[in-house]
Amino acid sequence: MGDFIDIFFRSVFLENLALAYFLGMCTFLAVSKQIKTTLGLGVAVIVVEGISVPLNNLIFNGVLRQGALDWAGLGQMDFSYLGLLSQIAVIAAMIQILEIVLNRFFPALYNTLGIYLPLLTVNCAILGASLFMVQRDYSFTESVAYGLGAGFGWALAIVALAGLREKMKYSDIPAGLQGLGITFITTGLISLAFMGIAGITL
Amino acid sequence: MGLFIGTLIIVGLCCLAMGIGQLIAGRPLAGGCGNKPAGTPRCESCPKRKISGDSRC
Repeated sequence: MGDFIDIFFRSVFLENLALAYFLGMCTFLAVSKQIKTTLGLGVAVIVVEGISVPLNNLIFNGVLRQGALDWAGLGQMDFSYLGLLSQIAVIAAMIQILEIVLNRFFPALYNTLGIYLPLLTVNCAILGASLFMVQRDYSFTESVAYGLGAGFGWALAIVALAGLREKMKYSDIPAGLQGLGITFITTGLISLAFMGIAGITL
Repeated sequence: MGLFIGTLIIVGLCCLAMGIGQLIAGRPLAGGCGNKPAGTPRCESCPKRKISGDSRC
């Protein structure tokens, strides 16, 4: 249980995909204008990460890894080179199912997210979490913690940025920095703040 | 041989997973700009429609 909590908090604060690795920046910058929209996108990312990372863990360790098919007499087979393909396929499937659910039950959020919802399929933050999971050799329970933590961390970062951007509408920003310029600077400052947490021993 | 067949099966399953939205909606696994199923408008969901106009998408 300690490992579960440790991995969760580590992926939310210390190894935040958006603020420590700068993954998923396209959506992060483009959709972070309103808190309401970012909350919806954040929940979508948490759901996708929370399901796709453990599912990719099961597929990688149960089918693709060398020796995974020992039970079928195919122990020498190593399909790990298909890891990237299978991870993208799982993520694509998850996003499509999420799209159908959102379109059916939350049409307003579906229309607000627009093109950014299908674009989550190629969001570096989502694929990055699966790739980190393989690289770090997480077990299934660890991958559940990591998937949820990575999604929650990304959601937290984008909601924080949206909150600041909403307030910055009323600020007197120099003409050359308005829009994306000040957003990049703000992202860097939030990233520094998150890095400050690294001094705390978990 | 086993590696080849295994790869073929996994790639096939991945392709099906990528088209799961189409499968759930009961639509045929064909489409994309310029490759629409017979009887459907070619430019209906083309992202370039707004840029190029209906005649050139």
